[in-house]
Amino acid sequence: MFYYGVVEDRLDPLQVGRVRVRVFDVHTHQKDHIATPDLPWSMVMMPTTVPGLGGFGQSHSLLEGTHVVGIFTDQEKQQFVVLGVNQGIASAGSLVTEEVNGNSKRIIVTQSNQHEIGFSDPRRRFLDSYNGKPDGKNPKHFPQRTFGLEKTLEYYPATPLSISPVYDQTNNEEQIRFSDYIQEEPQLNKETPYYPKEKTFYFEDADGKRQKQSVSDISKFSGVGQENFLHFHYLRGLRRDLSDHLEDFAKRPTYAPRYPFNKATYTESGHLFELDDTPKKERVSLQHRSGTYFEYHADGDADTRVVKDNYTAICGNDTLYVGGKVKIKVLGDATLDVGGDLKADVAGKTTIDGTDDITVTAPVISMNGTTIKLNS
Amino acid sequence: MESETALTGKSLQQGELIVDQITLINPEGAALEITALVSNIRFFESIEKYFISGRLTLVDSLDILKLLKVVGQESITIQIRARDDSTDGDGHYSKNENQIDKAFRVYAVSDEKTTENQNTKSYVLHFIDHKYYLANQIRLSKTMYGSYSKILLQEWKDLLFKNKEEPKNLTDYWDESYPYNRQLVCPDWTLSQLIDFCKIHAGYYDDAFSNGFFFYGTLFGNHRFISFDSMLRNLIPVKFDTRPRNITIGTDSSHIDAPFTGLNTQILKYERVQRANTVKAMFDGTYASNQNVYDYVKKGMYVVRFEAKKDIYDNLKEHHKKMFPLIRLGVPDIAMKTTAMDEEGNYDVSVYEYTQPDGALAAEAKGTFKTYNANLFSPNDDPITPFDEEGELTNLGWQPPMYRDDSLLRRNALTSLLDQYRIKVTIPFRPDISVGSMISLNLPDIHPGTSSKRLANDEYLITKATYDIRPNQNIGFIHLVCSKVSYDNDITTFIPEMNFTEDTESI
Repeated sequence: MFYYGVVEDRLDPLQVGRVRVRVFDVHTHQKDHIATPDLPWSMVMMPTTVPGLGGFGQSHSLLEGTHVVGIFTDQEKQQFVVLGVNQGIASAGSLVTEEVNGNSKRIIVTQSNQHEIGFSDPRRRFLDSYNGKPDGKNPKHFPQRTFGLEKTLEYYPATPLSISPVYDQTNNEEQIRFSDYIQEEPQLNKETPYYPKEKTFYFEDADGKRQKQSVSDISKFSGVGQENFLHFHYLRGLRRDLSDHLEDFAKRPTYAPRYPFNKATYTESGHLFELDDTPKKERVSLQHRSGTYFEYHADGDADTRVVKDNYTAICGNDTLYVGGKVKIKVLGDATLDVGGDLKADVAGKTTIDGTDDITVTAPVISMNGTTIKLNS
Repeated sequence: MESETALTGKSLQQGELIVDQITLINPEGAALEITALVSNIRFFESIEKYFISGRLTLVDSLDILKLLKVVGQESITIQIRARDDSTDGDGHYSKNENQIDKAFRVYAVSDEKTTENQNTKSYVLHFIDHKYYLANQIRLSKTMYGSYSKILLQEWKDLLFKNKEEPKNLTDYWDESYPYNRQLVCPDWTLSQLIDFCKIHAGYYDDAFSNGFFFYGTLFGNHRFISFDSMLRNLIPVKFDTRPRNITIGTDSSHIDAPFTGLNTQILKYERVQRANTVKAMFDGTYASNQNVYDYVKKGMYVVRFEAKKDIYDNLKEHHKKMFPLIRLGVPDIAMKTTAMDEEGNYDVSVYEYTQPDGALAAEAKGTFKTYNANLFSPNDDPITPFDEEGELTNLGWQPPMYRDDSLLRRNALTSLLDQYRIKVTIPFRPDISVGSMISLNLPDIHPGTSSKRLANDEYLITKATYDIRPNQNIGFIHLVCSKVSYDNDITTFIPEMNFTEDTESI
């Protein structure tokens, strides 16, 4: 028999990927009966593409609040195994019913009370918020339990509020700071990602018709019409930024991921990896939460952006073949440090336009030409 | 019915009793005293049953079913006392604390028959301890901790206090189990399911069979959570035998509980149901079994092996009751073939088959496969080992159910042992009998010898009891199912002496 449940803790002390799961129809939502730290650790079954041996393979991406499906491996229902994740369009505020003095009482789970109720994310902003609560140490219902939840939201990853790359870093007297181009949510404002959460928005389709779309639990980058979503929005903004600085960028191929063809992985800190199979808009994209990304487009074009410094080391030889033209724009100084000979074979004309002095220094300067013109 | 005073000094009947009341009451409060209508009552008690149940047969000319709107939601109060030949108290009847005084819940009406003239009808009312309903309706989804016996007692109290049951009516025997560091996230079980769990998993490291707990209700008392060791020590002081009695014995003659002469110590009927069944024992794991346990964190499988001789009979401690196995353990398990005897009775023996060289596995069964995770609840980095360096069970950290020792196999062995050697006896109704007690039954043998020369003594464990009450005759009987749990001697070294003279010392 399969059961559904909600992950409430993933900080497995053994670091083998176990999670605490509150299982529907088995565990009550009442935390003063079963608090999150009371729940047993459940194993998470991984696909056969994972070796699960000696550190090889991959880890799961379960979060506090993820709805999972699994089975119990024992009759006593103490050992739960997570077999998979349940994705859907979560409703805004789940309803639970509890008995109070013999009467049924309906409770709507909201962002403000979700820590007090099971089947939701139990994490809090401040450590002392756990004191005296069922999730804290030595709770009233289990005084002998000497441990409780001990991590606040600060400990966990979060997506940035916004990203603002600085495209001209030549005039900064001081080193550019991380906070200059990534704005994080202040700790005081942090709320646990509220699950479940319903978000419906409208967009215009290719024919200009207004369409309605609900945000599903599937990656926000897997569907069309989800441009309004915050993280998608900042990615688009960054592309516009780039076109302001590169003349030809406005003509770059566009992206139009369409459900269910974009196989995207979007993580809780904001990293994004897309293998987009949308017909005629096929892309591969890898973006860091800072805005650094590379992307391959449908026609084979590629974009790369690094929002801060870039280092490339090639220990052997390097060959660069360019079938067309090369355009390099450097806002600041440029240095070419060559340990051996420097040779430029130019089939056409060579022009060096300098707005300031040009200095050529060498023991012997040889100039060979049929005609050599000075100050011509 | 004659008054109690009138009975004083008069002859007793075997199993004599008085029914003080049988009152049927419906949920609206309408009550009817139906003692005169009841032809028979039976109560069922068992170490495997959590609640006393029963049925009573009515011969009804009032049409009570219609009068009280009987639909299976009524209560029935039954008070019955045994006559005990004493001259104390109210004269010749058991004291109140030794009487049946319980309220049951009617749950079924069956076998309804109307007489030809349609004046009367007979039917059977089925009833059960009203706690049965609570125990199967209320669900528990909560964190529990401590020893399993404490967990169960706490929930038992909570269940009954909530329903205004008097605390004194909760239990009359409760053994403490070990270890004390169990955690259970009760998965929305009913109380009955929690009892199932605690009964099987509660253990005591010094118990002969480790996990030998039983939970049951008693007719004369309350509920018990009792270990097998405690049952063995709970010996009913009165001895029973099959010798004929003079049924007109008066109060001035032999005491009703006197051995071999007392009215109420006579075994009225007996049946030796089974002495052994080693095929059943082999499949039930009575004497040997093993259990494979997969530790899914450490990725290892443990084979837990149980051998009754080594793990139980050879390790009995001083305070344990002396026990010997019911079959030969510790000797080669062999099949023999003989030649035909000659005229002088000589024959040759050859070993036909030699199955288990060490002899310990006279019968073997495999237990259930289990999975295991020592730090299922723990916040510690290292998995908690449930055993110390010497392999003893530790009491550290909050632990899930234990599977890395042979306690479940031992319990399995114990419960199947109770099915091996069984007898049924009927004795007169008396107030000091309950299941889970040892009873001394002197059953006739072809050639009885002295107790020191007998393989088995007279002691049996009562596993089931049916109390058969006949109110219109003021008598009752108790039908017992008993199990022999141990011989009195080691069968491998015991030499039967064919002593054909009846020994009178034991009488």
